[in-house]
Amino acid sequence: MGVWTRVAGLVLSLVLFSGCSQQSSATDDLIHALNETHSAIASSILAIELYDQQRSTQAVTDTVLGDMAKQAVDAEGALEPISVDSEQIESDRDAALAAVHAGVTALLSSRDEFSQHSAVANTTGLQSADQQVNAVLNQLGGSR
Amino acid sequence: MKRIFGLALGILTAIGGFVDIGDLVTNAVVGSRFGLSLAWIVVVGVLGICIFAQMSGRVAAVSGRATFELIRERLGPRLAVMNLGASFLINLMTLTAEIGGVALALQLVSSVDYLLWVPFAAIAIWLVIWRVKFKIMENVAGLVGLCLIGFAVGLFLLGPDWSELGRQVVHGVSTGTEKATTYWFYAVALFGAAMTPYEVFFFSSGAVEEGWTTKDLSESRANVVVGFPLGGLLSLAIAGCAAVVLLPQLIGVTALSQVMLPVAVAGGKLLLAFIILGVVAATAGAALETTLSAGYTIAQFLGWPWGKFRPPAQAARFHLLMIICLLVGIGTLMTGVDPIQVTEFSVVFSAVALPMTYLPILIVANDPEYMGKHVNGRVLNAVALVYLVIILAAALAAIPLMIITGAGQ
Repeated sequence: MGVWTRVAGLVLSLVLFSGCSQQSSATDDLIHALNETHSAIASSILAIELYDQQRSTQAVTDTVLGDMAKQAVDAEGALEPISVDSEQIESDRDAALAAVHAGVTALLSSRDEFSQHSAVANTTGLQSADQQVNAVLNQLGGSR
Repeated sequence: MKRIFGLALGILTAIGGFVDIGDLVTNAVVGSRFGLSLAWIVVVGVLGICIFAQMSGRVAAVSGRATFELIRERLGPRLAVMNLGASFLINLMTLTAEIGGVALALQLVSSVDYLLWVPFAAIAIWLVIWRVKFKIMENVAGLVGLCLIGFAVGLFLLGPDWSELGRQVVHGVSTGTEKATTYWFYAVALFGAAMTPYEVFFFSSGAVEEGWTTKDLSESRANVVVGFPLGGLLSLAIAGCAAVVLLPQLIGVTALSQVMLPVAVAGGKLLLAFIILGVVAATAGAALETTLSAGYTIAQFLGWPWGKFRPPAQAARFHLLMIICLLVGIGTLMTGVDPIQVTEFSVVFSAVALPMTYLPILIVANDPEYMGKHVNGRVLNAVALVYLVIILAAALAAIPLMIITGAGQ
């Protein structure tokens, strides 16, 4: 057997081994989606505050709000296929789904409000959704 | 006086041209998730690119020929084709990421979706390559890219707790849910971003384009040894800004637009305008370099006429190849694939391809038939060998770490 064949075999084994061991738990997936949503909401709040203080431009704020709304929508989409094999996981997933959905709704309405009026009247909707997300994160023990 | 001006210009363009979309995104992601705890890998990566860039520049200046020509001649077509395949594919991925980076930066100026900017960005890159002289192209992109110094200015304006940043460098950051494998995944990604293969190909081919001789060796060495480390400091400043503003709020960077938030906090609209200009220049400059590198690698390997110093009619296949690569980049981005993800994958796969890129350069730089009295010294060889071990370790670890961490998720 040539050296290159052995090296290729070793690399393939490593890849397969690491592929098999990467089955992340459902809770990790929930925490990841919640962290992504928190990050999106916090970025949007910061972008709106900076725009209100005239420290940022309309285009940058618009782009941040659009990017973050998309990120939260993706996070929500990633929650759907999570398999539920216990009542605890099902309850956690439902709580996470509700929190992420609240985040998505707040982010989409902020984005739309900004693109229509070049301003967001207040960030209370985003802050309240963020609190909900953080509460579920703390419950799952996953806040960074 | 003219020589001093040329040296200063070379160093400034090296600084401005060092940061590309890979450095921008990876450093901001790492800063927002790990603070400055991975600063050490930027230092290791910058030292590595300095060693191999000056080596390939020296090979080009002494032999008057570019890297791929010599690799094929010295190692034979079978081994050289492995080097070519890996380097070309990584370069194509990096080119796609850079076009995406230009488009994303233009969206930050205009609010117009980046997908609409992608074809315009690619056409502009082609026009510059077609019409603008090499020296002007390189200098303008590098000098305007210096606007990214705004990140360092921003870091100072943020007034961070320097002792806390120093503590992050030495002791790391307690990040709760971040795992050790994710830390090492980003270590490999940062290493790949700092040592991206195209930088070496462009540097050596550029040396031939500009007609370097052994008289230019000290100037080229100064460009690398002074310019690249200062460019590395810009990378650290990007991570620092993210560490100061985004990390405490648990904001993980996933989009280029988020990289602008710390800048706006620090310096408002004026600094933001400088940075966006710098991002456009840095990504456009890197897109020009990767497009040219795509042409260089294949044309040099196959022995086609190449180079911007030749009129396009005399190097038709070289120019056609670059057009095809730009079209592939446009096509990939138009599928809707996230340019930031392309960037993240490109820096990781860069790490995978590094041994196939740098080992042949080391072999050629030690061949007295090409290099005469300018072969590598013992100390340089010893350091380069240590780097080859690091490069091999990073290359072997890159894909398993990517799978284990779900690409750093």
